[in-house]
Amino acid sequence: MKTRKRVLLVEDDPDIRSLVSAFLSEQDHDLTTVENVPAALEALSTAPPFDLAILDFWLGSGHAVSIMDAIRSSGRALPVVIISGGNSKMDLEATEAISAISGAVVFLQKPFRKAVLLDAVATSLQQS
Amino acid sequence: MDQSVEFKKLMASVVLLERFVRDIYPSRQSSSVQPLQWSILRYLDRMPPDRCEVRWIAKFLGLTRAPVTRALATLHTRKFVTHDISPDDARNKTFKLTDQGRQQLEQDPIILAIDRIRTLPEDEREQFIRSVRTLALNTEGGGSENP
Repeated sequence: MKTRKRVLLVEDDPDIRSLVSAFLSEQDHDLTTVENVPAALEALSTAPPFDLAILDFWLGSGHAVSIMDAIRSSGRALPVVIISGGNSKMDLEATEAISAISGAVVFLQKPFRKAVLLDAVATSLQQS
Repeated sequence: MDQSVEFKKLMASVVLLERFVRDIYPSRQSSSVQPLQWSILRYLDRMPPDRCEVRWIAKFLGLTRAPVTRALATLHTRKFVTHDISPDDARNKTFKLTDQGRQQLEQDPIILAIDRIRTLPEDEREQFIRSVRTLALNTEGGGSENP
């Protein structure tokens, strides 16, 4: 029997948030969406635990590193998919490297195809 | 710590860091693979075909298309990469590694650097990784997100 997975999506761009939500809706996951670091930390502190986190790297004035650090500090083995379109001061090569150091299992460059996202989600959930 | 002593120590450590990076690229001859070309070989080795066009490579590396195009031309001349017409747009080329390019990647200087860093005790290695991350975030972070 297919188990319903809990997925946390943290994305500050409403268009991408709804697009990713639409992509994932077909997978019948239990999706929680938030748009900034404090809301993400709040969501992570609630039970039951998530099976996967999809994090936009740049979140307003913050970034996903603080969320990944919080996940690691909690001792939870929560796989993280990072999505990013880059930043005016940091290229994607550096963003991907920082994400890898911080524990992300997949890094996706925006824009991405639906199939690419779903493949990343499936691969990451296998690790949860 | 006295500020002048601290400055001297920081200066010395940056000198060593610069030498460390320089030393992993032993040859600076024009015939050797240059750092940007290595970055492109690494990129092509792990990215899906639809992301192996000049525009995506340039965006990933934070460069304009011109230096990437030049580097790809050199890699093509050396038979490390080949190209096809992009299935999405006939005006674009999709690049991929040749077997020779994959063999060349086995000599990637970064592997030498990794081997050297691995000789550090585990706690120093972890601290090194975290420090590099913090430096990257402090130096480069804070810009606005690309649309």
